[in-house]
Amino acid sequence: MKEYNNHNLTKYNFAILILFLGMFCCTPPKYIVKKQSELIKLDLDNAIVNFIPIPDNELIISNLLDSSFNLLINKKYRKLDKYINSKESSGIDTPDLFLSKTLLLITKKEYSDAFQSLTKIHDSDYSLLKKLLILDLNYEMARMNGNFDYNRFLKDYQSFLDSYPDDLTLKRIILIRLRYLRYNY
Amino acid sequence: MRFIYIGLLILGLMSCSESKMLQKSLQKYKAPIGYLHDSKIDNQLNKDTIFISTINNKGIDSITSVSKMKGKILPFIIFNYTETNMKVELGQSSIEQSYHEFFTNSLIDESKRSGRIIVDNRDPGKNPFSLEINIDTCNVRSKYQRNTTVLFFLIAYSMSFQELGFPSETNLVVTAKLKKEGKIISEKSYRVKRTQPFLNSQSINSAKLRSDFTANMVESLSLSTKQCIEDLIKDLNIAGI
Repeated sequence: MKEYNNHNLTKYNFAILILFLGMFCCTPPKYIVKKQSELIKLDLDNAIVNFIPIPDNELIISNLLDSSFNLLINKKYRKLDKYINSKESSGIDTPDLFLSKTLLLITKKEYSDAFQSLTKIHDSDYSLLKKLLILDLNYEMARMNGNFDYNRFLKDYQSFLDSYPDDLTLKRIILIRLRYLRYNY
Repeated sequence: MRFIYIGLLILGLMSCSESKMLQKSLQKYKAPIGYLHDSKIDNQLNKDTIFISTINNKGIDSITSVSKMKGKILPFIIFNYTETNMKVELGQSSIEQSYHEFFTNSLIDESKRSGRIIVDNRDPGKNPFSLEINIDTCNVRSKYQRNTTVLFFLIAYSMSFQELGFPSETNLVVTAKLKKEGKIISEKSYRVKRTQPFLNSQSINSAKLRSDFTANMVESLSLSTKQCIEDLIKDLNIAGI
């Protein structure tokens, strides 16, 4: 009888473990990487997902970024991790590699490590994207540390948007970011 | 029969206290007020400055209040459904910053961005023109719903609760009086009616739902204020003092 109970208990624990693993694996990423050309077509007015716009021409220029982008959008995170590690171990330290690594770490919600990787990209490379991601990561780290200040981030996103006044897609993306700030997601 | 009366009395008392409880609970949540300016910056030099003589804020209540609305009771033998609806009116107590200060600062910021005339709350002393602003109406209303479903089986019962937030509606009326040496030369009222969709209306826990509900009401007020201020600055640009 005792043996039977233990067996049942093990089955029960296993079921709970599977349930938690399922919940953990299914947590959607907070930031979704999208091609800039695709973002223009999307209805972002009632969206509550943060998008990271990747310029189409950057994907044409860099094979590494293009491959990483495809793995990211297909949710093949482990494969992408291996791909980045293999590039790093072969001595590559180009901005597209650091950007790919940053995007992967953001998707995995490892924001401090993503910030470290982002700072390795020179300001001249991916300047708009880098500035946007710095703001996003500062926000995420402030939330983690419990020192989030809405007005500070509103000001930061405002001055960022003012540096690109004609970029309408960027404006729509930042409006969603502000919804996140307001609702403290 | 006596049990039915007692049951109805308990239900009645519960629904009365529910609005009081929600009001008390909502006092815990405060949301930041603010918005993103998306007007183009006019870099014209030597802009004139006019002084905001007064901003009267009579519109917004000091405390967020909750009152009961029509509900629903479906008392069947194996299925009971109770729906309590409550009307929530936003007050200053749910906003992190003072609305008066927010309105003044947003007006000044917008005039510095897109205005041909800068509006300032410090008197430059040279310009004979001044602006008087009255916030006549500032109502932000929303509905909060609580449902209870009870299912009776032969020897057991099942009970479930659900809370829902609804889109908030803002009615903002602001009157601006442009004065020259103290005399009114033009007066206009700006009316903004706005419905703010509540995107996350079914949160997992009621604390997050109530926090989002407050944020939604404040968001509605922020964006209505934005529209009102932009219209006011556009008119000032046309007036070209």
